[in-house]
Amino acid sequence: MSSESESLDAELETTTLDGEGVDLSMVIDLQRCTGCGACNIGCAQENNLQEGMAYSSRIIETNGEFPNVSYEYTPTLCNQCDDAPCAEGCPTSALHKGKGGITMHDHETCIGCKSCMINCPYDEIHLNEEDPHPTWESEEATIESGTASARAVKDRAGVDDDVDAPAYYNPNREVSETEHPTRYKGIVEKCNFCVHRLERDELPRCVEECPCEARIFGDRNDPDSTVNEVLAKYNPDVLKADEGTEPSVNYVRDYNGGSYERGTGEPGLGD
Amino acid sequence: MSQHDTTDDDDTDLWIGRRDVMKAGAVGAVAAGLGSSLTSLTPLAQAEDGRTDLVEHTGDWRPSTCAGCTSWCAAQVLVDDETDRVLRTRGHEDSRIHGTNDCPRQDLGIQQLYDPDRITQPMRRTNPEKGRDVDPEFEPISWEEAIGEIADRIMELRENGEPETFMVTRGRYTYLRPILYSYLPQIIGSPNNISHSAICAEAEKFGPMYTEGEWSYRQYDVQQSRYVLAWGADPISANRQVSHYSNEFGDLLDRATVAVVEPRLSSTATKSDEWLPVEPGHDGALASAMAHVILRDGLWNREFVGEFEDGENRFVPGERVDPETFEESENSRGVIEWWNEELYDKEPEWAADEAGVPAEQIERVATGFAEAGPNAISWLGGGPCMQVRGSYTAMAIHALNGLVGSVGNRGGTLYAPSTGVEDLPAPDEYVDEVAEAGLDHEKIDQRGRLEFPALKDGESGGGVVTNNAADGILDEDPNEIEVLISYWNNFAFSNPESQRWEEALAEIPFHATIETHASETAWFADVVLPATHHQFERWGQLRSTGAGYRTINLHTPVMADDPDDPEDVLENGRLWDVKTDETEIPYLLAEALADRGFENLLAFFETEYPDPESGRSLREEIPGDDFESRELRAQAFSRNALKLRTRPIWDPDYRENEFDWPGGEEFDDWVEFRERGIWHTDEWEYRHRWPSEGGEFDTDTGVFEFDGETLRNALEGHAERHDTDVDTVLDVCNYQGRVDDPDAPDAFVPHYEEPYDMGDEDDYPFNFVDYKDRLNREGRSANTPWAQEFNDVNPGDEPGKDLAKINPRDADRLGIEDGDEISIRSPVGEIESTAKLWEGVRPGTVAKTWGQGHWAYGRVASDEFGDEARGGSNNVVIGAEYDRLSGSSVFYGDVRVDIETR
Amino acid sequence: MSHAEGETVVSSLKSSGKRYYAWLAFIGLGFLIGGYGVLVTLIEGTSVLGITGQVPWGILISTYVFFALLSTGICIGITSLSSVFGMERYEPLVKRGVLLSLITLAAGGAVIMAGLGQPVRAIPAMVLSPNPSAPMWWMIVLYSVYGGALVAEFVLIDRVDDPPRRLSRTVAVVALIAPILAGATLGAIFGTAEARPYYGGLFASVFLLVTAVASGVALITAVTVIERKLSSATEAVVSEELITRTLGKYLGVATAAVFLVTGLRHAYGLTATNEALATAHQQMLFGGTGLWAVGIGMGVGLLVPMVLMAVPRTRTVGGVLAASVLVLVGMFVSRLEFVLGGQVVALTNDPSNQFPIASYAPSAAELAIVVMGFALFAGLYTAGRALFDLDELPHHEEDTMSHTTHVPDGGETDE
Repeated sequence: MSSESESLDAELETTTLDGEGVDLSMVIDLQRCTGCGACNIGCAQENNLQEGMAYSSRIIETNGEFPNVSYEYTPTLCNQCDDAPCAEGCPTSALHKGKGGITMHDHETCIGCKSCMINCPYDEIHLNEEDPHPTWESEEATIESGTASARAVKDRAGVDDDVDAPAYYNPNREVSETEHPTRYKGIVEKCNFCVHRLERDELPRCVEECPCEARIFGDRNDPDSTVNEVLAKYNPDVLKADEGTEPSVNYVRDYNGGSYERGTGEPGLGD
Repeated sequence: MSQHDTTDDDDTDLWIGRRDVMKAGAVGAVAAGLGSSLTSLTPLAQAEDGRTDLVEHTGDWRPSTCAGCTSWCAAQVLVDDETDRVLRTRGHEDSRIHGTNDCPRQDLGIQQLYDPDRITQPMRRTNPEKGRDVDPEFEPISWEEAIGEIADRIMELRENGEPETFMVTRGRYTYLRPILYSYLPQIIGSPNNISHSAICAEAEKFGPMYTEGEWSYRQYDVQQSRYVLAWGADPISANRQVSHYSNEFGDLLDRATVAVVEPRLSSTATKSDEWLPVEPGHDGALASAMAHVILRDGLWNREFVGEFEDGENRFVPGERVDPETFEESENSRGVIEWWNEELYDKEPEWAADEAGVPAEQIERVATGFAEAGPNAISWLGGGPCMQVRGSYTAMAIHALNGLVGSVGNRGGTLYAPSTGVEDLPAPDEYVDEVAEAGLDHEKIDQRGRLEFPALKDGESGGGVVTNNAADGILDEDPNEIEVLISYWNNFAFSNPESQRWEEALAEIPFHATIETHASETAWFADVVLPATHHQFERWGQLRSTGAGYRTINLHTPVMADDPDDPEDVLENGRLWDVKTDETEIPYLLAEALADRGFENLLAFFETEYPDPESGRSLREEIPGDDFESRELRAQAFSRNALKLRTRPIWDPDYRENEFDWPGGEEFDDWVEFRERGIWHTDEWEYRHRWPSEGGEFDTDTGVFEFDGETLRNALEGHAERHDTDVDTVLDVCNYQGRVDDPDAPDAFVPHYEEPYDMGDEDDYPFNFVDYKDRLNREGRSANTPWAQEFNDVNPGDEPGKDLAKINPRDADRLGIEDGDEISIRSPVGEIESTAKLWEGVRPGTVAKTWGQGHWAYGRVASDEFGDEARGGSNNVVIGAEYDRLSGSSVFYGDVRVDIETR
Repeated sequence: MSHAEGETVVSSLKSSGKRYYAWLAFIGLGFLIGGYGVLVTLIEGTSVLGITGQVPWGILISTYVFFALLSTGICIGITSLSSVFGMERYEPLVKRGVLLSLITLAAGGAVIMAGLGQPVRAIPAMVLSPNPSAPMWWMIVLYSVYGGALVAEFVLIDRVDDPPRRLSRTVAVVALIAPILAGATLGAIFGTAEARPYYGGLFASVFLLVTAVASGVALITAVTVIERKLSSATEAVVSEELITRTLGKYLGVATAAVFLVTGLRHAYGLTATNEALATAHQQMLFGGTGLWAVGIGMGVGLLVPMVLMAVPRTRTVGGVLAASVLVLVGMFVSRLEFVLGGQVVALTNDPSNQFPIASYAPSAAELAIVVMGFALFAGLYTAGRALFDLDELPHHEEDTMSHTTHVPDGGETDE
């Protein structure tokens, strides 16, 4: 295990304060990020996400003209805003600020009104338009008696037919009483920093999955936390600061650590 | 509601204290009471008696290896304690190369394992006709029948005295590969074992081979480097040790300058200090010009290269140098010859014209690179050298490392330390006369012929010419192929001009393939045998290299609780009725051949592959002649082969008494090693091969060669074999270099050759830029939904789409708009794609990620399985050309195409 | 006071003939279509709707806004003028107005419920897990209060012979204030979405209330004019002058006000420095949506009725009917323009999203649910007019109206 994850893990284990005193926060070091998407795949697997519903996602922009081109990859997730417009506007408090400052979603009180989706400036709330993973219900094989079918694989893998999940169903979310293992139609869902993992002293999956150690996670209120160290060292930024949502996800440094200008002697776009 | 009333009040630990409070199920019942009868709430009910802890805490992390690319990262696989289900994979925590870091490819493995389109059991073709548009009409058969059918065919060949018409083709392997790939054909009597290597990156090995005598990939010391100059290499995206390089890249940017030579904005280029968007095929011009600048400005490494006797720099542009004035270091030779034959007039302005990169940038990069030397890397990827004249470019690019003294040095380019694995027992004693006669035949890929030198390790015909085997089969030259076993390869998709393989495969009377999926190749097979998945279901061994180490990594059947027990593996270790290509299938075949009177293969296995711990032979461990006992023996054989291969590592006696132990980690018994699954060499010692430090390079001269002396010997050897001269060889093989011709580049020194046109510029005005998908598991990931959903990790691509990237200036000229359906046509084929206007491609080029265009392989990979491709396969437009000196197939360079809207 | 003589369901059925049956069949068909839409959404999930992750609010939301603000507008713009401010001119419209307010509210509620992901748990969750910081929660509370007030008001008019003046007045005041607040909080739902500047922030409430009045006036005008043609009783109570002078001018002025605020909204948006906001207005006005958003929403729905009402020659009963119907059509369309406008510009360049413009097209199921809304409206009104005497005048001022009956030859009903 990388030394970084180890120290973050250790920090997490000593995070013993009650919700009031803990302010969980993530910093994404864009210079370390290589845009590989491992976070997104790990997240999809951890949370049994339907394809197309990425809690951990990305913003991609290409600017400039050949050969002075800038490409930037920004990993995104729910910002767990201190001033969360999704929670503010949720008529049934299904979305609410929970322990550690996480914006929690209670699937049992969500009525599917979608006002959170209107209010979130980051497009980080997703609607389950149908029960997830319908393709895993299929009993059809491409080659009869030669290849498998989705249902057959689920069966072999020990996943109940009535669980709306793929054959590689991850039961981790079952351990959290605030989570639903797979979600279901008619309600929204969103990233909650993998609260089911936090409750068991494990880092959010995207933090653990990142091969570049670009994600740093910890308690903003702990003066000795790595998060605070990194935030103090660099000039942090948040997405859409002017929305006033006070995100708990900060970004430091640039995706283009260098500036790959052609040899004209002019500074590149990254500068 | 639930979240408010479950807070634990007396426990100071926020995270753990709530375990026994209200379970989701109880709250779920309330929700159900609120009346969502139309909603599926079953998972909640399951949670009632469900988990109290994460699978990470209750399950096992079992060791294995990811074979999703040739990084071969050591892996750990999380197996759920309750269901034995594989839940996730990560890098091996004990690896000093990558630790738990992996790349996204490894995570796709789970979607391969649990792919609904996997083959679950053997199948037989019932439609005798073969063709792309012909449904094979597969029907299920038993393993016994399938193996029997193959054995019958082999017996027939041997009885007819034509064992050379047997053929094995290999794709992804483990180091148990000799059993199926070498020993089986050897005992049967066929020289025709054809690997995939020449469609991988053999030309990349040519550069280091003919400068420092290493036919090998390198590792790069990024942790100590101050300048990285990457040539068509995309180390944070594709091949090799992406896990390690990705992790180091952020820090590297702090410490070093990174420059990328690449016609399109690659992943690495997006994060680099300099992008040199070279015109495809002209990389060698840049390399020569950079070497020119380094010498001109006196920036070379004296210790490695040498110095003028009087210290005055006589490398003056346009002028040749008297070799007498220069005193070579004991580490290298021939820099003056290189200058005089190639570099003296290769000024940056010349290269700027050739390669379309500004002269100032060439100067700046060359200077920065040399000033950072010897902690500087000239990083050779496949791009510049998997081209028709790529061998020499590979040499030139690698020779830059020699100039700055970074060869084997801190912050430079390293190789792998020696490992503690043993060769598998070989079958020489079991080769009979019929086989001997067969083995005398020429190989089907025609390697070693005048036009295919394939100079691996300096030997004429030493390397493979993978893609030419299709022509060998079609032309029945040197002979017909009647029986083919192909394993974990998909030649009908992965070779350039792959349509030739469709024809060739259709010609072969009997073809058995061993694969996880019904691929384009399986479509032409007579028998399809379902293969185990490398990462989860089998024994095997690979290795990885980086951070100064080489590791030996085991593949283990992770779903079995006791992998050493064949019964457990067969019962629990596989999802379906699948078997291991390299071991179990040859073993079952050996038994079937013995049934039919040919016992050599079985005798070989039974005698030479006992369990090295117990000493028991296979039959002693598992007696019985029924098929089930054979299957168990096959599995025991698989385990034994691996134990024999790794014996020095885990058997102290053997290590100390019967093996030339290179050092490294030591284990005391098999189970200890098997449970850990990874072994490390000692750390690489910088400069230990430098003659000045008492070492030796593996060239013919023992030093690093700038003058191509070893290449001279190899070329002359090849010419001699064909009774001709080197110039004729080079002429036949499409190179421009000549011996002693003042109008041509010198045949032996690293040099620039103009790109070889694959198509007429007037008819095909664009260069086609192919590159490998970041989520591509060697062509096997297209059926995994995540690879499609997240394929925008390839800069310029978009989720779920197969896009041809065109510079907006070109598009404007042609009236093509974003999202237009276009066709891409080359002299050899045509594909359909969607246009994406993107500034990250050089005007005049079309860039397209390799990996889409499957018309079989599964429901995600193809639009309509067996019928309609999803996107277009680059290999259909890339012609079957070769870098003949290395035998490599060509993917890059002057591949010419035309595009138009459909 | 109870049903007027001869106006029972049975008698109305008997007396109505083929046209009436056709009308009922038409409503029935609407319910069938709507029922299909509702059921398929319940069973399959909102995947059958045209909404997406980027455009989560579509035609169901705009239809709800349309109905809810009709209700609001009638109450603020017409009935309260009489019941609260004592403008007797509007008395003949009060009872019908209260009923229309109620059933438009019901139709709107039904449409929005059908579009919820979890409609069945909606009410319990609102009660058990309220969020007082959410405008939507307040809107629902206020519309519930408002709905209650409307029922009370209707009961007082229809059933109580001599309702206490104070009670009537209190109910009327509640029925004025609640919809103002409810409409304003409905506006706030949009207005507080800072991520969606198209909704105009604080201005959203004002905008929606102004447009509510216009649409409310249009609806009650249209219904009344039609009723006058169908029923002599109505003709007797509602004078032509009320239609052409009072309501026609009122409609003209209200339409002009809507035209003004709509124009201001777009002018402000198009010239905004906020790029996303400007793009949204450009897209809605000049993109593919412009055809209906501008053509119908502003041209047919505002400009034409304004002209019709401004020119005395066209301010006839027929002209007023035409104008009010056009306003209703225009308002229905511009509600959709308003709702979509806030979502048309993609929030992020997530490659799995549409960028920079998000598209939306209503699905068959969504349209079916809209049809359900209209069928419900028509069905309830038809039932209402069969069950109740909608031409009854409300009690007011000193109880003098308690014995009012239909005056066959029309004219003033005040004695």
